[in-house]
This record gives sequence, C-alpha cells and structure tokens, in this order.
Amino acid sequence: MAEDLLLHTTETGDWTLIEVKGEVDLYSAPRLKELIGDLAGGGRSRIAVELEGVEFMDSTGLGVLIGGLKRCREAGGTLALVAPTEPVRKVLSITGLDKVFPIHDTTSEATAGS
Amino acid sequence: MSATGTTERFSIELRADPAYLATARMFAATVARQVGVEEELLDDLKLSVSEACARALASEPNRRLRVVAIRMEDRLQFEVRQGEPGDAAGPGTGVLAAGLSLELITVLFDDAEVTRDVDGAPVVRFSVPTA
Repeated sequence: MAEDLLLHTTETGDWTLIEVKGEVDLYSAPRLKELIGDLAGGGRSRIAVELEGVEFMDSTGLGVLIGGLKRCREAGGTLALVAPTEPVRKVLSITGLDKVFPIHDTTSEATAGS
Repeated sequence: MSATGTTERFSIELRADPAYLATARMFAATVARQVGVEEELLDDLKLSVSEACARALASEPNRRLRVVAIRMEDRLQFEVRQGEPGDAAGPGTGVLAAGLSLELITVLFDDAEVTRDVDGAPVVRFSVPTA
C-alpha cells in the first residue's frame, strides 16, 4: 500500500520552499494540492517545490503542479521546481511542461529571482 | 500455453482505492525484473501501469483493479483491467481527473492500446521487451 508523502515547508523571505519526499500519484497528490492552495491563498505565492526526494510522479502530480503554478501567477508570484529526479524530468519532458515551469538545480537558484 | 512456447501469467487484484496504486507499481516492477526487463525501462513501466490504473479508477470507481502480466517469448505484456465489483474507494482519497494518462502511456509504449473486455469494460494493454 502507499507510503505517506512527506511535505516539509520552510519560509525564506518572500519564498516558501516545499520539500517533497515520496511518490506523488493519484492517492498522495491531493495533499500537495491542498498545501500549495493554502500557501497561495494565504499570500505565500512564491513557491519552490523541491523534488529531489520524489522518485515517482504521475499525471495527477503534474496536474497539481500546473494548478499550483496558475494560482501562484494569479496571485502575482510563481511556482518553481527544484532538483527534479530523472523520472520526474522525463515526465515533464514528455508533456512539454519542462518549458512551462522554471526549473532549477538548487533552492538558492530558484529563490534568487524576484 | 502458446503454440510457440511457454506463456506465464502473473496477476494481482486490488481494491478500487488510489492507495493501492503503489502496490500495482511494485507488482509490475517486481515481475519485470524477474523476467529480465532492462532496468532502464522500469520507470516507464511503473508510470504506465499507474496511469492505466488511475484511468480505470476514474472511469469506474466501484470495480476492483486487475493488473495482469503475461510473459511471452520476447516480451512482457501488461493488461490493466477492471475486476469484480468491490469496495469503493475510501473517504478522503479523492479521485482527480486522469486526462493525460492514456497520452502518456502511448508516448512511452508504441503498442499501447485500449480495447474492451467481453463485458464492455476498458482494458489498457502495452508491452515491454525482455532480455
């Protein structure tokens, strides 16, 4: 059965970093969706999602990230992806979403932008 | 048993619950490793099995999931189909739209197809080469 998705948030200035560990799929994605929604709705619209610990992400996970990017942009911010693993990079590439999201190798790079 | 050689079947039936998608992925990867599918194909395989299961849950949340792996001469064919009516997904699991699922599977596996079972239920089928 599914293991829990681990979500840890840290605030640095205007940015909120979400460290994600585990597998993001139809079962676990709603928790990430809820967290991003709460942050964006609460004024934290510059979000960096660190994916170094995510070895699996399906289309539901992608949908959550797309929805999150949209919400953040509507609130004047953005949603960046940090250090996606090879499986996640592949699904981003297949869907063309690697051209939609800001993608960075480190959190420092992601949060350096305004 | 096929005319040209031995055919082995492995199958698993799971509750209609997104919490069991990880189990479906693990099953697919375990069988694939056992029959010699290259390691570099396993990520694509797990994604496709998971997407097919999610698609089945989205279309018929009250039917159990059945994942079948059929070892053929030089390929391992996967079928994701709906099983018997069973317990519906538990509260709070939330079935989100899986609109991209089939598109992803067809990009990853050239022979991916969706057919209908004898009772009209959809079957997603694709295969990977074995060593």
